[in-house]
Order: sequence, then C-alpha cells, then structure tokens
Amino acid sequence: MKNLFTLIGFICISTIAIAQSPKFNDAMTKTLAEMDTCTTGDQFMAISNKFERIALAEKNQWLPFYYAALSRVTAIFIYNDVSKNDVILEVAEKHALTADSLQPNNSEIYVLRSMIIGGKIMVDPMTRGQQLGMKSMMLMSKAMSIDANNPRAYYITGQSLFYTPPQFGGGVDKGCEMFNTAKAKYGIFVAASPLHPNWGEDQVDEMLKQCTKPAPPVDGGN
Amino acid sequence: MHKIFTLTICLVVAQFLNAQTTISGTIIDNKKNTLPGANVLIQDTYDGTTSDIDGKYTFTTTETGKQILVVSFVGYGNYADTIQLTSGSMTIDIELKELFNELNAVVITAGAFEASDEKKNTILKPLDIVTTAGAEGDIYGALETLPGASKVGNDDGLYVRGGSDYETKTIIDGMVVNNPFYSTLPDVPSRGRFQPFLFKGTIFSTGGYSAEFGQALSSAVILNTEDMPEFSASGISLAPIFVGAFHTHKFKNEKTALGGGINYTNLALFDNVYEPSTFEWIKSVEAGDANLFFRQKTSKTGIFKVYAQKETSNFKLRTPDIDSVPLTDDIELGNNYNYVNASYRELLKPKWGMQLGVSYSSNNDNIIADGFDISRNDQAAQAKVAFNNEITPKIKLRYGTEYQNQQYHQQFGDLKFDVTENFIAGFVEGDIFITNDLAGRIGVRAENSAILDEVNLAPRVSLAYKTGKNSQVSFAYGDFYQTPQPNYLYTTAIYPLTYEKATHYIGNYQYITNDRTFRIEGYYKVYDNLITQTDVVDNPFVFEYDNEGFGYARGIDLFFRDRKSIKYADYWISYSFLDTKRKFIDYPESTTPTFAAQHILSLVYKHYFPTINTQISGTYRYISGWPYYNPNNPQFLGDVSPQLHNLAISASYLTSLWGNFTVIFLSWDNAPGFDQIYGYEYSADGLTQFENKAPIKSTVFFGIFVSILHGNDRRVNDIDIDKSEE
Repeated sequence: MKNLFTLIGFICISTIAIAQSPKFNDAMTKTLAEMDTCTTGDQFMAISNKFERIALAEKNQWLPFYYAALSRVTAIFIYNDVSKNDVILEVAEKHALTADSLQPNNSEIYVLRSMIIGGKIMVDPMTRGQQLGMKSMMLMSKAMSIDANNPRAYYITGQSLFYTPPQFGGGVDKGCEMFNTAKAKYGIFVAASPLHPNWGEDQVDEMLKQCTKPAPPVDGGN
Repeated sequence: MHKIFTLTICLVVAQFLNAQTTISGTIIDNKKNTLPGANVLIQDTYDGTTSDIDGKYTFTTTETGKQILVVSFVGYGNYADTIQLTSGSMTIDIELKELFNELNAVVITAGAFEASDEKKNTILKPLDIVTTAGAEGDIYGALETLPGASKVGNDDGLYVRGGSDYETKTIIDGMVVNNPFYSTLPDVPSRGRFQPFLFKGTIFSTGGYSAEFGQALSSAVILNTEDMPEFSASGISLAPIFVGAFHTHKFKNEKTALGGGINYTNLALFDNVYEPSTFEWIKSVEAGDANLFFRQKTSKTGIFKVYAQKETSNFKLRTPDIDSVPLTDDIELGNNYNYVNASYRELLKPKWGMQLGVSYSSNNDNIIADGFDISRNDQAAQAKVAFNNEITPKIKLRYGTEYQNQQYHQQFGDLKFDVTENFIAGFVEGDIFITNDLAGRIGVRAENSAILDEVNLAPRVSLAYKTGKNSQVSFAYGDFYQTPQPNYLYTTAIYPLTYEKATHYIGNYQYITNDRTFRIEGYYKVYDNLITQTDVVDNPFVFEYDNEGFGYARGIDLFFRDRKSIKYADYWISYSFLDTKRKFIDYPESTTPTFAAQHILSLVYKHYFPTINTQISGTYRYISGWPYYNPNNPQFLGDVSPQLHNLAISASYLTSLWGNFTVIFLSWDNAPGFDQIYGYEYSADGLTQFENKAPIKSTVFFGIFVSILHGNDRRVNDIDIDKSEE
C-alpha cells in the first residue's frame, strides 16, 4: 500500500514535470496574444513584467527573457520621453543578455540588443551617437551574419537609416531600400514555433507607405 | 489512455489541493511614495501582477502552503518574504527600500563644472568646446564662456575669480602640465597646446577642489584623455594657414590601439590680409607639431596609455619702442616643447582600483630682443600613484602620493639663474554618502617643497544636499597652497620664502534637468602670504622678495543653459560679478589688480538648421574693463579700461565628401568690429600713451575637416562584442 502511494506520487511528479511544457506554452501564447493588444507604454511595461514572471519561473527558457526585454524597448518608443530610456533599458539589457547566455548566437537576440543600444542613443544623440552608434551597427551586422534572412534585422536597420540624415550615412532612400529588402525577407520567413519572434511585418508595410509619399520631415541631430 | 488517466487524477488532486488565494496590497517606498509598475510575483510560479498607478496590486494564485512573495522594481532592493497561502484573501502592504544609486544620488559640485561624455547632467561636453563661436577650438577659449573665468587682454593663461593666471593649473590624467599654452610675447595672443578631442572629459574647477590636486590657488582644469578608441579612423584638416592629419588604428584584437598626427601652421597668408596695428611682422608664426598615442588593454579592467607631443614654433616681430617713439625693437621667439604622459589603471580587487602615472615635459624659449639673448628652459618630471577604495557603497576612499622634479634655467646674456625643486605630496580623501540626499567629502593634502624647506597641510571639505529631484545645494571650504613662481625662487638663498595661500568658502545652488541647467554660486576667497617685491637701493635690476602680500576676492557666478525651449537651439548665459583687492608684487597698496573685471557677461547661442545641415553659432561677451596703470593718476591703478564688447559668429556645414563625413567651417571673430582696447601703457615719463589692444580687430577664418572611418571593412564575425562594457 505504501509502495503504491509512492508510485502514484512519482507518476504524478513526472507527469507534472512533463506537463510544465504545455503550461509554459499556454502562458506564453496567452501573454503574446495580450501583447498584441497593448497600446500604451504602461501596458507594455506590465506585459514585460508578466514575461519576467514567466522567465523567473522558467530560468532555462530564453523566449520570456527576450519578450520581457522587447516589451520594454517597445514601451520607450511609445512613451517617447527620453528621460525614461536609461532606467527602462537597464532592465531590458539585463534580460537580453540573459537570453543571449541561454541561447548564444541567436540572430533575434542580436537585433534586440542593437535596438536597446539605439534607445540609449536617443537620450543624447550628439554625444552618445558616435560610440554607441558603432556598437549598435556592429550588433546588427552580427545579427545579419548569423542569419542573413532575419527580416527584423533589415527592418530595424531600415528604421535607423530612414531617420538618419544623409551626411551621417542614412537617408530616406536608403531606409526605404532596406524596408523593401525586409519585406522580401518576411515573405520567406518561417518562425521556428508560434512562440518564436515573428513581428515587424505590419510595421514594415506602414513604413513602405511612407516611402511612396513625398519626403517626410527631416529630423536633425538635435 | 493510461497516461491521460494518471494526468487527470493528478490534476484533479492538484485542483482539489489548490484552492484560490487572492493577494492584494499597496507598494510604497521608504518615503511613503506609492510605486506604480512594480512586479509582484510568487517565486517559481507564473502568478503575479504589476502594481497600478496608485501602487496597488491584486492577483489570485492557486498555489498553497508556504510560498515566497517577491516584489521587484528598478532602483529598489528586491523584496522577498515567505507567506502562508490559505484560500481566501490576504492583504500584504509592502515597503521597498530605495537602493543607493550614484546616478540619483547627490553630487558634490561646489566649485566644479564638469564636461564629459560619460556622466549625465554635465554642463559642457567636449563637442561643445569645438562648436562654440569665438573659442576657435581652444579648450580655454570655451572655458572662458563659463562664469568666473576669463582671459585678460592679449595675455595667455586663464584668470579665475580674481586670481592671477599662474593660479590656474592644467592637469592631464592626474598630472600637472607645465606651459599648457603656446609660448608667446606680450601683445601676441596665444592659445592652449592640447586639442579638445584628445580628452573624453574636462572638469573645470573654479575653487574648492579635491585634495588630490594642489599647487593652484584658484583653479584646476582637469583633463582626462580618451581610453580605447571605438574604431579606427583618420582625418584631414585644411585651412589657408593650417594643414593637419591624423590616423588612429585599432588592432583586430580590440586591445591595442596606436595613433598619431602631424600639424603644420603658417600664418604668413593670414598676416598678408590682416596687418596688426600694434606691431609689424618680420616673420610670421610658423609652427609644427607631431603627436603619438598608444593604448593597451591589459585586462578586462586595466588599461595602459601613452601620449606624447612634440612642437616647435618661431616668429619675429617689430614693435615701437615705448620710451622713444620713432625707434623700434625687433623681437624674435623660438620655442621647442616636448610632452610625454604614461599612465596605467587597473582594478586590483573588485572594490580597489589603482592608478599609476609618470609625465615629463620640457619647454625651451629662445628670445632675441633688440640683439639681447634671453633663454628659458623648464623641465618637469612627475610620478604619481593613487588608489580608490570602496569601503562600502556609501564610503569611498581615495588616497595617493606624487613626486615632482622641476628645473628652471634662465639666462639673460651672460647672467644665468638655476633653480631645482623637489616636491612631494600626499593626499587622502573620503566621499561619504550619509543618505542618498546628503553627501560629504573630507580630505587633507600634505606637501613638501625642498626649495621652501617647508611642509604644508591643506584641509578640504565639501557638503552637498539634495533639496529636490533636480536641485541641490553645496558648500565647500578648503586651504590651497602654491609655491611661488620660479622667477622669485632664484633668490631663496638670500630671501627665504613660504607658500602663497588661499582659503576658499563656496556656496552653490543648482537646478538641473536633462535639458536645462541653472546654477548660482557665491564665493569668498582669502589670500595670504602673496609675494611682494621691494627695490634694493642702488640696484634697479635686483629686488628683495617677501611673503607680505594679502588680498581677497568675492563674487557671484550665474549660469543658465537651455537646450529645450527653442527647437534645434542650445544656448547658455554666464554672468560673473567680482569684487577683489590684493597687495602683491610691487603694488604699493591693496587694490583691484589689473586682471580683475567687475562684470563679465557671456552669451553663447547655437542653432542647427537641419534643412541646410548647418550649425550657426554666436558668442557675445561683455567685460566691464580692467584697471591699468596711469603714472599721471596719483591713485595707483585708478584707471579702468573701456568697456569691451565682442561678438563672434561661426558656421559649420556638415556634408559628405567621397562618402566621408565632412565639416566646412567659417568663423568671424568680432564681426561688428567693436574696439578691442584692453587698457593703456605709458612711456616712463608718462607723456606718451599707447593703446594696449588686440593686434587685429576682426578676423575671418575658414577651413575644412574630413573624417574617415574605418569600420565597414572589418569582418564582423571577428568582433568580440564585450558584454561587460555595455
């Protein structure tokens, strides 16, 4: 009788251990769906916290760390208040680096890290631009060299080219060219699983609409 | 089938055991402010939530029994507490403790203006120095737009808060630099020898500075050289009077960098266009310099740096003889200058850093004045070691010692004077954060000069208190000693001297946000033991020196900078009020010295026009006038020079040349052509008056700078992106 209970106990434990995977998938799927409905910076911050909770419970999964960081990067663009960037990105960077250590040489994580550096540059482009700009570029090149077909690497590169004045190596034309490349890459991209990064195509379409319009307002170095 | 059955049993059992618990509460900090956005969770589960705008949270969990409730929020210490979950609802209010964070903490700022890329809220950044109109790319020219600092007439040197030029010292990587200005002659303006882009940061202290530095009664210009360049680069500068080129190579190992540059200046073309009004060029200024640098990362935290610079320059001019007008004097100057600085920095233990440095400089001036040879040769060698020790995050200790050997040699015809000085100093200083809002710095410096054969002990104290999120007040007090200038030291065997002394009291309030800075600082400075000079009967060439001088300087400095109110514009306003008197050198009584102007106002405005990729910058300066000596006025230094206005304008056009970032710039100093009269000089009989003025009233200068980056050709896969650096 005692042995039977022990046996049932073991079976239960092992079954729950296996069952964690569906639980993880379920939580991630739900949170990703919730992320799609976010519109405000605060909502993205709350979603980041949710991914962080999953990440802290599943310390070997890189995806929740990745999304915790990505939500924060998204939040700073929505807040559009550079005085918040450093504090928010400090945590994003920590999560991105944890993701990187769990999943080394992943193109998506390099894109994310490049975006984080981009957000830091926004705080003070005049002084941070020179050094961090190079770093951001290097991370992006690495992302492309790991996976030449990662559409997000081209989309984000296009973004930074689009808003950089031509004399600093950017320009609307160069940006739009890159968006077209990104669009083509999205066409052939297949995510490894429904949980893996698969975002950006809608935004590229939005940007491509701007490319067909007359020149947008130029944003200067100040 | 069997598996599903087991799973169902297990889940049912779990469900039965896991009755729901609702946990709610409020999250506040130690100042009772509510904290929105904190992450609240049950450890090792997905259960949790984010606190709302009022710091309130509520969530349900199916976990039971003993669990750990965790709350995390950036800038605050993590909260973790074991709770017993029973079905129903629980209320748990949580107080988070703010972490000590240097970015939010109060900063000790009395007396110091900091300009660096690294720290937020700095007042002037390196790029500001080169884009300020009128500064002409000279570090000191840009510092002059800050309150409390000024150049005086055609003199080289920076005069700070009623102090003379020798009271300001320039320090590179912790070590004093002798002769930081190009050698010149009276009436010929000069500038600093070191290029602004060599440095990642500048701290300009107008008083009350750290015990680490001494031998400067008024001010320290603390320059720190760049560490590892981010990438390889080259550049070319071209102007009608100047050519220059540099190259920096960063090796593939990312640990070594080597670079150098050469520059050649010849003012001949310039002098053909602008004829000086106070003298005549016989040979225009011609100067050449070469520099070399080396960087080696010795470990993840260690770096070895070397910088060397060699210069040579010469010119010859003809000035009217002030005592017999139709006659003229020919004066010729040749200068050779060498400078080497090597430093090593390493973290010995996680909380224990070390800096080692050695420097050497030699300066050789050969002057031929009206056929009479004068030569001057200074050599200085310095070695320094300093340690940083973080005892706790709130207590940081810095201590170190330095040794200097200085040799001065002067020769007037056959007359030779030699002085050798051996100088030893030590300092210890502690930064203590009593709370996040209240910090103190207490230090002491001891110095021993062999030539004075005397030890001095200088205490330094600063306090800073944060009065609001963006504002703080600071106070500083300190004693400052300086060995008298070399020309008084040749006779110490006959006339023993002691250190000149200044005591500073400084109070400051500042309000800084990301885009705006306001600061007001009041100071009171007491001078003692200043050098006095008396005639020796029957010998007009020999003087007797004593330390019987004294004086004071007090004033208010105001600074406001705004990068927000006008789009694409950045401007700052500096105003200084100064009241000072002193008795020193040959002054018969205590009076306002020749280098002290009562009111100085600077306005710097920069505007970027994105559509034409051009930055236009203007600097206006007003100086109320300096006292000058008029032998016809019975009151010593009773006359004050006319009010001085200057408006400098510059434009930089950013473009691309063969794919390389290029700047084309144009500067126009004193564009409206205001009179630049600094005072008057008189012949010995007092009958003939000469204007002491800028040799050229207004000048236009243009040039081009092309910068070539070598980043794209490198193979990205070989780059090891160091995570710890980010």
